[in-house]
Amino acid sequence: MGRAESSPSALVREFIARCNAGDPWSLLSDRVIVTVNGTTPLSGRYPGIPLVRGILLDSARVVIASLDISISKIICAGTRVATLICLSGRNSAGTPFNTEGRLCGCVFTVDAGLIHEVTLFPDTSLIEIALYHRQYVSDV
Amino acid sequence: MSDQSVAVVNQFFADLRDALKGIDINPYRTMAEDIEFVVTGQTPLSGTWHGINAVMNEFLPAASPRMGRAPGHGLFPLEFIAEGECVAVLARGRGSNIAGLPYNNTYFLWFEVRNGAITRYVEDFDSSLAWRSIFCCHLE
Repeated sequence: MGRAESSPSALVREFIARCNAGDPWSLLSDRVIVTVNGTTPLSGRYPGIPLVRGILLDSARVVIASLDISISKIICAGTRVATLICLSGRNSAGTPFNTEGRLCGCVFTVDAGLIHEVTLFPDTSLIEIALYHRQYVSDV
Repeated sequence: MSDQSVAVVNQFFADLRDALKGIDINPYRTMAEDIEFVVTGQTPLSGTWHGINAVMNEFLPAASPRMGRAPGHGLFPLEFIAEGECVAVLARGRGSNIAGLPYNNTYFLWFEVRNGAITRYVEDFDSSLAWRSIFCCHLE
């Protein structure tokens, strides 16, 4: 069910609030495409809620115990919404990550009261280090 | 206001292209004296620099020697999302490391523009790829 009365920015704010509450699904189109930028184990293009839930979310739950999302900046042009957000929380070992509150980008496409596209640009080296306990070692 | 902000950001990209072609131009001339310059991630080049002097005297001398130079290199904007003084740009980069190996990243760039100058710049990208390409590291 859509929420055509909401502005795209308001809808994204509500989506983030519902992500923090654990139930954002009714604000997503069935055909939503979620893309996680980069080369991490979580990176990729996930078309449709079954893949978002079945692959991205389930994979993320293995390494993330808790996640808090907050919006620092939000702008809108037509159906496109760009945000600077802060992703922080605890990994599966209970260790906090991004306690510094560093920001990353996330872009949405909103139409007819539903989110049709989410493209997240996370801190990919933080994902490798803090969530997968990997380290960068010199090739030489 | 957003048209003016986009014009300044477009000038930044044009200056960057010209500088990479070898034209004697300061690609950071659109940045304000008091700019906040942020490079996301956990790499040795990640951080926040306050003021154009810090960008020119601290960030650039550290970053430039690590980047290759070749025809066709550059930062290519794909989409602008602008509202008021804020502009988000989705972009692709084509570049190489100092050894000439390809370094083609994907970017979310955030600009804030006041009085015709960029006062905040956030460069968000796959920093894990930067570790491996620019800093010649691998994950363990």
